[in-house]
Amino acid sequence: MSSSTSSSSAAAAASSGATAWASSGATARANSSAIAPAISSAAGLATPSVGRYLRCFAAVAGTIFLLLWAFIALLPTAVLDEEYPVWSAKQDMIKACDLGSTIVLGDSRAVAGIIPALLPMRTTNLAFGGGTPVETYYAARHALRCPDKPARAIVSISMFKFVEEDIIWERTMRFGFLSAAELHAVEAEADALRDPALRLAANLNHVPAAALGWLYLARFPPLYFNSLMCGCPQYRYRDNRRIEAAVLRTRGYSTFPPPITPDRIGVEALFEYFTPSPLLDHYFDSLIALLVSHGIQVDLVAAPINRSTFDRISPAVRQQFDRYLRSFAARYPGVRLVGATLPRWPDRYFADVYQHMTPAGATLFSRWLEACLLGEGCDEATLDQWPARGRVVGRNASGGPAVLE
Amino acid sequence: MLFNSIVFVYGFLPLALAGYYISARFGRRPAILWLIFASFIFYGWWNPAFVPLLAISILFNYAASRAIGATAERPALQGWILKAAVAANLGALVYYKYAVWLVGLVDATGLIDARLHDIVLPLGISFFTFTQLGYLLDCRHGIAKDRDLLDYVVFVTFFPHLIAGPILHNGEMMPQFADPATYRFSATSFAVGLGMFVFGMLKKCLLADPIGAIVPAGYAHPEALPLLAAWQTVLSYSLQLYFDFSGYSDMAIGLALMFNLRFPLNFNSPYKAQSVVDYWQRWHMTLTRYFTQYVYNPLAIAAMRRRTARRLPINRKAQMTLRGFTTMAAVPIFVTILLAGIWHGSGAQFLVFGLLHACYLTVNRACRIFRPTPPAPTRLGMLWRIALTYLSVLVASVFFRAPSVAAAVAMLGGMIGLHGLTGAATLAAGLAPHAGGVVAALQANLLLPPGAWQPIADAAVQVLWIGGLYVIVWAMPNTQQIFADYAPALGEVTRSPLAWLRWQPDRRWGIAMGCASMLAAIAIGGTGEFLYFQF
Repeated sequence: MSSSTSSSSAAAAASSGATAWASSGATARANSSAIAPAISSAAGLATPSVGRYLRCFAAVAGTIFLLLWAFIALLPTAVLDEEYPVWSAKQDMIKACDLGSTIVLGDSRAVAGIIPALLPMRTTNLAFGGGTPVETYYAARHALRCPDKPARAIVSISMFKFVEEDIIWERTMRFGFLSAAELHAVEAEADALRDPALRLAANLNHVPAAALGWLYLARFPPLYFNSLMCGCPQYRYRDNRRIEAAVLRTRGYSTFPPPITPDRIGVEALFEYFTPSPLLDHYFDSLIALLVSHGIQVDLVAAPINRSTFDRISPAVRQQFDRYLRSFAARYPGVRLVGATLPRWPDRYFADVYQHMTPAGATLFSRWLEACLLGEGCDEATLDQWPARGRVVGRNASGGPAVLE
Repeated sequence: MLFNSIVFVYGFLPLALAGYYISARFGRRPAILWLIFASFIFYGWWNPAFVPLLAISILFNYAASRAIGATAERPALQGWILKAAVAANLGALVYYKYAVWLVGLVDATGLIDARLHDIVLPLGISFFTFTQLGYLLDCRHGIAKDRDLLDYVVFVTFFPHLIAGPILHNGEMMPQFADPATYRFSATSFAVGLGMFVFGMLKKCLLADPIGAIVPAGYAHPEALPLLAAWQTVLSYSLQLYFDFSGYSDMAIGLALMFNLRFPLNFNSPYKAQSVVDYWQRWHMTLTRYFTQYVYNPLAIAAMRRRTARRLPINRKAQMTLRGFTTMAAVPIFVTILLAGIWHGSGAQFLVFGLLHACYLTVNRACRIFRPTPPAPTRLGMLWRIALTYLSVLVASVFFRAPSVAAAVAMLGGMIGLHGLTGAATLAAGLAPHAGGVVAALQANLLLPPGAWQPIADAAVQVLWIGGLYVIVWAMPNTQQIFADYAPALGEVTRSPLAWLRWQPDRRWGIAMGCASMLAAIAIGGTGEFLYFQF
């Protein structure tokens, strides 16, 4: 009897003590015994107006959603970031089929490093910011639909763009560069090669890759939310139209915005070894095979990187990348490696951590490429020595005089 | 699957709701079967490999509950079955959640060369394990009455609580699942649930994620952060955690309501707490309730029984002695809160987090016991209490978020100026994109030329952003208060003090919520994961 009493008093005391730091466990049981049925009857506030409320809710939500969807689909120039007009302009150039005898294919370093106007033949720069061999392959395929095919292709893809397909959703599909069939082909290839890159990227959105592709192609509003929030439509539209016009004028050359941080270290410096992803290796091989099959001369050109980055890349990585590129020159007739596989130039010619060249650096690099294409020396030593020539006087992108350094 | 993902909002949820109400026309059991099916799809979406683990856990615990029920007449055997089942559950939890850390600790001693590869933590394992442990303990005490397999499976797997809580009590949910009235569509439940879900999504996507953008960078290098940047990081995380968990809790309650079920409250403006005790009664309320019921109470009762057996008093006067206070209050608090700390994750920083809160609570408890009852505080006194409580919680949150104890200490050092005083702008870039439209407009009109004014503009945007969020935290009613007239959750809900912020199913609210829902529905495109998923 006394034990029972003491136990119950202990429990009561503990329970009261428990409320001193947290709610008592008894609350849950009290709640459970007092659970009311459905809200409508419990609160006694259900009225016919709930139906009207829900209809109003649905009408407003549906209208806003459709308006937003129409806005994004019809006016992407007013929504998307400043990279979109660059991609868009290049797609327009491909559609117009006025490509000249040389095309430049590659990534953002090629976009910012090769000025078509400085090359000795009519050239179009079809490189894309962030472009991997996948985008480069499809750029070439789209270009080769034109009746007048180019005679030469300058292919310039950086080492780190062989490692991971990291832009297919955020750039390639968002900007409407690939069709559904092309995306499906890339996915099928990735599956066949057991390359998980696309699936992993899709999983971040919790949507299966195929469905995500369709949603991007349909310009599904949630996928464009960040652009809607970050942009002020009026200014984006104006700025993007200006960028698009500039890219069309320079035949694909464009710079990247400041900040100017020349001594930043590029991502290659972190590599412990160089191994291309199966998917990207496949697409690079397909690209070279495609160009060669059309009788196009292929010049593999590596855009320079800054000295600070170069000095941090391990010799083994440099060697592996060099071997990789040379293997294509050895395998395919009509393919040559032009200059060094990792040219190092002074830091001052670079604008940012991505190793995009400054206009001065791009002019100098394009000058070297011009000399090379004219047969005045394409070797590695010439390329590395070129910036050391000191003050270089030549034409600028518009054909006028330019003083570098 | 995340609540704030495209596949959930535009695919899973409409299908789950439609399937539920269609199957409910054929009876209770088809509706429950549909819910179970949908919940397994929900759970397996991220990683189907863990679906068998969930199924095995459910079947094992259900079998254990039946065995416990069948041995009611043999208490000793029943006790052993319960102990074995608890050990198996905790063993699985320890293996998935703490094994790598524990083996790493052993390895660090240098005595044994032991290493373990990373183990992927099954989604929500802490939540479904604790839910089921509670059920087993209640079976043992004769509290759990409903022993139907389907009711049990749907109670454990019902997707709105499966992977991040609230931690449900069988006594509050299983009667609802057993009630045929639950399966009739209620327009009011649906409207209230939808409204709460929209509020939750807005909190998550528009408040928590943007303010959290700078947090990883700050906590990655706390030793480099000067005073302002350290404060900026810590306050940002505090707000991110608040809106993330608040948003998640709103969404979970709202989803349950859409299925005509009511969840318990889980989050009740914890930063308005006037003491740490009050804080724990408002923050992750179902976890607090769980630990109180299954850890604190048994410990406190055991301590009192020991004293009673030794003919020592257990009344309030006895608690005012050092020994009485230590055994009956401090020890149960420390054990409970340390366990609550490491429940959140492996690592010494979670132990320190628990230790700090245990100290706060013990001091708080001591004040209540040893001090005479203070008069009702003035408005200024209340503000002081809220500020002191928040500051205490803020310091503990540094350990909660930091990757290690050393990093947390470095962050606290930064907060008191040990790494210099300036440099807030170093993290300003984090929020700049979210204010992009405004900044772009100002720049385009040359009101804000880039360059000299940019860091000031970024810092001003940050201060305004953080300040605005604190206004929401401290001056606005919470979601359940807004919907209080329609009893959105189990438990006491007070009404919004602002009459214009009391939800009503009228045209004005229909238009406002329609706009808000679209903002939320498209905002899911650029969001991260819920913080509480990692626990």
